[in-house]
Amino acid sequence: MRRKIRKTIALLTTLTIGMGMLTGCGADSAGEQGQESSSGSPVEVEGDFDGSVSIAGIAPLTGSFASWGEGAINAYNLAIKEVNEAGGVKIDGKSYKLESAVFADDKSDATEAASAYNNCASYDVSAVIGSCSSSCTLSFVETAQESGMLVITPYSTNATICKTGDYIFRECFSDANQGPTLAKMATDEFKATNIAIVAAEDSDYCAGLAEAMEGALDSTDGVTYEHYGCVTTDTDYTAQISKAIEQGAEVIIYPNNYDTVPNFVQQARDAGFDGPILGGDAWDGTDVTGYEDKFNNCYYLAHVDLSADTDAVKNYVSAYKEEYGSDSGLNAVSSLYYDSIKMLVQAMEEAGSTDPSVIKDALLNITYESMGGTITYDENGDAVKPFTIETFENGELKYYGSF
Amino acid sequence: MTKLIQSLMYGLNLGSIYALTALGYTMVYGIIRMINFAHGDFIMVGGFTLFYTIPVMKNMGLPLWFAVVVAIGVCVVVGVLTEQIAYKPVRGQGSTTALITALGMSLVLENGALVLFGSAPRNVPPMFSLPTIELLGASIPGQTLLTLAIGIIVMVILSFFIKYTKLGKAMRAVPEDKVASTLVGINVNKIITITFAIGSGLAAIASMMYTTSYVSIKNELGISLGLKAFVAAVLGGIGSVAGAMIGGLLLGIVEILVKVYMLPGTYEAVTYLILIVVLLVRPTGLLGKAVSEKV
Repeated sequence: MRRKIRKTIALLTTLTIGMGMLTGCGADSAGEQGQESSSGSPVEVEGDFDGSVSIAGIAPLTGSFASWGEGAINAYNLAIKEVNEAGGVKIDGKSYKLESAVFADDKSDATEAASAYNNCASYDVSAVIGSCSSSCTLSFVETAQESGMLVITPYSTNATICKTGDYIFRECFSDANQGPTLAKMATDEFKATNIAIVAAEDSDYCAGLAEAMEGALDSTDGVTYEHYGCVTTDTDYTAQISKAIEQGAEVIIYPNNYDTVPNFVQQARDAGFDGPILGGDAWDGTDVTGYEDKFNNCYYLAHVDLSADTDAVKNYVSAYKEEYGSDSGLNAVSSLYYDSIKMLVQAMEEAGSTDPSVIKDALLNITYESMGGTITYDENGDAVKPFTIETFENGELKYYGSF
Repeated sequence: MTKLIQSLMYGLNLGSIYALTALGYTMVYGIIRMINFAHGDFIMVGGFTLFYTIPVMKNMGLPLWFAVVVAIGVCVVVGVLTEQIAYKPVRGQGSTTALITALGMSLVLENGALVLFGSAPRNVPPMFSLPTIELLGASIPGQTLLTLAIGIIVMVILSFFIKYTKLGKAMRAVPEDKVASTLVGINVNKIITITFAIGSGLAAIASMMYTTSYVSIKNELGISLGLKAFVAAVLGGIGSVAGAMIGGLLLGIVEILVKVYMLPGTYEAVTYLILIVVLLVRPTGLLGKAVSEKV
């Protein structure tokens, strides 16, 4: 008898939760879904809020790209805290508390990213902020577009992402622009006529960037280039480097992820290549310890220069250090997560709504002052923003210029 | 021609690292007929030990190769603990159980390192700076020669040790017949533990050479390195010390040559296709002896 009662209770609970989720999905108004938030104690409300609005985040907290994830989640929480301290999201004279429903780990893996997204989408959120690697973000943007979920990816630059649909935005530049910019850097800034590209073929980011670069180099007169493939798990690049040297390359472009950069640069320098080595934005976070001299004459495109002498950057850097006690994880990726949230809040306030279908139109017309410069959007939802070039000077990250 | 010599040199460098790793595999397999899939992860452990101890040695003014001694110590402890805790209890349970336990141990070490060291890649500081040598127009990094030399020295010492010392003879006796070995007074458990200690020590030496060529290490380092070294050991004839050396060198050279003259992006497909063909022709590997299993 007792067992039967227990069963009934369990069944009822399941039903109630199920109903809750169903209604949760249907509701667009932000005020109705405070209890789904995972922000700890729901009773404690600092300041007076008329309601709340939830967002969710995705980043690689483990796996190859974990050093991006560390800063990402810190910056995400910092931005939310700052928004709420400044009175929350203000819509029609009411203020809504910004809450994080969940922050999911994509484990630097595309399959895991899809389930991380599903986890986020199971909450009633106005937007999902994520993820880092293009392969991960690509795994869920189509689902998001179909279900009308607003996605702002802070750091995925693959050219196809924002073309998925009108609900998909990004805080960073697109590889469709980054590729030609890298090519232009090689040909204009370093006056190279002979270029070698070493790009991983098993990564959407690296391959897409290389393709965009080749397109630009094809249309430049008097420039020859060779493209040598590799894979993301490679540690040995001596074959590609010796071919680049044989070809007489003046500049090597290595648009791959930061975890492989020290191996590549060290091997290139050991093989006797002293020319400039250029990289894309995924060089952010590269460890140069112990090999400082080899990183001289290396340059990469960045979204932001965190040593810049602007108020926005200085405020962010000091707030981050104050909140987390160190600068661990404080890199460009983190600033993009921070800016994504600040921009989303501005869009919600300008739209006067927390409904994704309204926010997306406001985002298209937004002019947002990010740490890396002014962001506007083209019709695809691709960010138009300036490029920063960073270089290494005996191991120190230095601002080189803007493009 | 220069290109070919240069590629061969790079192949030798990569191959000698595979060979050093494969020696550890072969060593353990030769004695207890067990494939220790955690061997690649021992190299990762060695790499992280070097990462943490080299700066300490620098600060204390000690010669940097002391760090290698520490790494050998740490690897031996980890190896012997792994054997005692995970492998010994399942030793009588058949080879499948042992294999699965080894795979499990490999995951434990990888994820344990994730917890301990985080997953951010680290640069191991340079231990020695060796001059680059010019030969027939090709430039050979000094560490290539050093890795090769260490590989050959280790191989020779190991061969002599197994062939002529009392302990080595006992090591060869154990896989022949465990019961008979016990009857003639060999402590089988002790022999197996010593084997693991030697294998793990080799892993530390391999990690030293690995980090001189490939400075960036992370917790997943052992996965592909271990797998490739395993292939090298099989190619050379698993259980044979000279076979591991030859298999490793061959694998490295083939990999680089495929990268230089064929497709650099899909070299793994081509390389391993070649290996499959080799094994179809010689199932026991290059130097392996066909041993009929006793029933």
